Parts: sequence; structure tokens; C-alpha cells
Amino acid sequence: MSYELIATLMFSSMMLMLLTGQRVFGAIGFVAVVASLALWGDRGGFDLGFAAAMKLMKWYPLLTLPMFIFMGYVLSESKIADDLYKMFHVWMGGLQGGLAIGTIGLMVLISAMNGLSVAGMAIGATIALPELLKRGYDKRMVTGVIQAGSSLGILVPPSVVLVLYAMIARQPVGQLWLAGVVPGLMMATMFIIYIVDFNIIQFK
Amino acid sequence: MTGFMHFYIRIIDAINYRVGRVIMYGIFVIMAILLISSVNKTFFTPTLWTLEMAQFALVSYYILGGPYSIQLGSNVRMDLLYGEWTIRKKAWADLFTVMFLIFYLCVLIYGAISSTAYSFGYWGTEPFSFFGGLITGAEEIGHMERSSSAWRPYLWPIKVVMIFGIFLMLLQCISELLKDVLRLKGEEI
Repeated sequence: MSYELIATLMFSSMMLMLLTGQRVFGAIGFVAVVASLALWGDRGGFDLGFAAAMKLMKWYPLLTLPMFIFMGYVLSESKIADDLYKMFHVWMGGLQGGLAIGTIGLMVLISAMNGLSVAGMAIGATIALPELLKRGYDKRMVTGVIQAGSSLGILVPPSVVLVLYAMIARQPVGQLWLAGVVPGLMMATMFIIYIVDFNIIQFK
Repeated sequence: MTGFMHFYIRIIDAINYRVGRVIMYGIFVIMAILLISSVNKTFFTPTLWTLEMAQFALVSYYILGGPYSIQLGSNVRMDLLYGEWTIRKKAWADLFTVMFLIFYLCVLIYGAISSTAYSFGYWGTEPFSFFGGLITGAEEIGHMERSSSAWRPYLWPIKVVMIFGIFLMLLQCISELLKDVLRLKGEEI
């Protein structure tokens, strides 16, 4: 079997398995295990699955992940994020589209405390989204604001993805984090400019 | 049959709930080990054992926490189509696709057992007869596998933990399968 055919077959069967809605680790693991059994025979196939698990264990950047997830849970369970959102509501509420700008501000603060985009997304979707929709904001704009805002999570330090990148590419973590500050804040500013712009056009 | 299913689900869920709840505190163990590492590196001699010890703690944390997260249903699924389906349709789909997951875990557990036999110094292809021989005295423990780092820990304890965790995951998957069967029979779980 040619390499191209193997790759195509594995990828397409993986996508098919994912569409059935089975747990993602099961779907990917099943395709990998069947492919290794078909390609290496019984012994090699059986060993490869477990060898991959051991290889993942030896990959030490993985140690940073539970800490970041723990930090995200601390933020959301201790209701610090709710208080932050209330603060932005009071500060920005008077402006045209102020709450959307406040949401971006909240996202920047969350990103500066936590390194995963998912955490910002979860906090934004549970706290900010209902409030914004209640005040009659445009639904398309609001979902865009939360998604764009949460993407700042991996840019503004600390960032998990930059740690993983630094380990793979052998680059210093501190410098990568510093390099993320200006682009992150610049993107936040551009989001805010866009929101102001959008509101001016919308309400004319 | 239904009575047995209820019994199995209750027992396995109870075991995995307790294991998951206890191992949840493993994150503090990892934190403590990493903190000891940082303190020693800053003020005293850097320690050799902390990195690998933290990795062992991390592996125990996520492998033994696995069954509990399956039980909670917190594993990531792609709900492009799945999210829209009714409970009945979801149960039908899971009834078939959970077989793939069980197959994967079976292959993984066989690989884990043969790898553990290797780290006890057995280089053949029959891990089960090796472990049987250990009990009856027909086989002996050979050269134990060690990690290739400076600390050189033995690798068999973590492999035994992994076998145990994967086995619990397998039991929990069968429990999920039985739950789907009961759902299709029209019961509320």
C-alpha cells in the first residue's frame, strides 16, 4: 500500500468516526490501532498503541497543562470573572455598544491570567453572552465578539500554546511570551475599533 | 438479565466514582513535586528525581481519572450531527460506536501487559504465560527495565498503574454500553 493511500484512508476513516459522535480519543485511537495492526501485524500493532502512551508520558511540556486548566477553573468557580464583568458593565455601560467593548476588556484580563482560549470561551459564553443578548445586541456580532476575544487567550501571556511551541522549536518561553503582548493588545484594540464602527453604522 | 445490568452498572459506577474522586487530589501532588523542584533548584542542589516523579504522578492522575470522566460524560465529542439527535438515536449510535472504543482499550491493555512483562525482564511473546509462571514459580524475574535518565527509576510500577487504569476504563465503557441498552428498553438512567 502506498503512503498516500494509507494517509488518505486513515484520515477519512477518522473523520467518519468523529462524525458518529463517539468520544474523540476513542475514535482517533481506534483508527490508529487498526492501522498499526494492519501494517505491522499482531505484535508490533499491539505494542505501538501502548508505546504511544509511554511516549506521551515522557513529553514533559504536558505537565503544564493541568496547572493551566486548574487556574481556569479557579477563576470561573470563585466567581472572580463575574465580578470583573460587573466592573466592565459599570465602566462601559454608558457608551454605544459599551457592553461588547467591556466583553473584549474582560477577555483581555482573562487571557492575562489564564493561558487557554477555551477557558475564555467558556467564561464568555456563560457570563457575557446571556447579558449581551438580554440587552438586544445583534446575535451575530455578539458571538463574534466572544470568539474573537477568547482567541486572545493564547496570544497574551501566559499562554499554553506558546509553551508547547517553545518546547518543540527549542526557543525561550519568556521571550515568546513577551512577543505576544503587543500583538495581543493590538488585536484587542482593533476589535474595539470594529465594534464602535459596527455600532455607528448599525444605528444610523 | 436487566437485574444483572443494573447490578453491574451500580457496582462499576460506584468503584470508578470513588477512584476518580480520590485521584482528583493528584493535581496537588503534582504541584507539590514541582514546587519542591523549583525550591531546590533556586536555593539548594537541583534534584534528579522531581521531573520523572512529576511525570509518573501526572500519568496516574490522567489514567486513573479516565473512568470517572467517561462516567461524567465529559469527554470531547464532535457534536456536529450528534448534538441534534434525540436521546434514543444517540443511544443507538453509541451502542455501535462504543465497540470501537472497547476494541481500542483491549489492544491498549494487551500492549500494556506485554510491556509490563518486558519491564520485568521477559523478552518473549507470551506475557500471560510469563505472569502465570511467576505465580507458580516456573518463571523468574529477569533484568528489570529502568528509565534512561540520571535517576534511573524502575518502570514497572507506573506500567502496573496504567494497566489498572485502562482496565477500569474498559469496565466503565461496558457500563456505558449497558446504560445505552437500558435506555433503548425505555428506562430512565
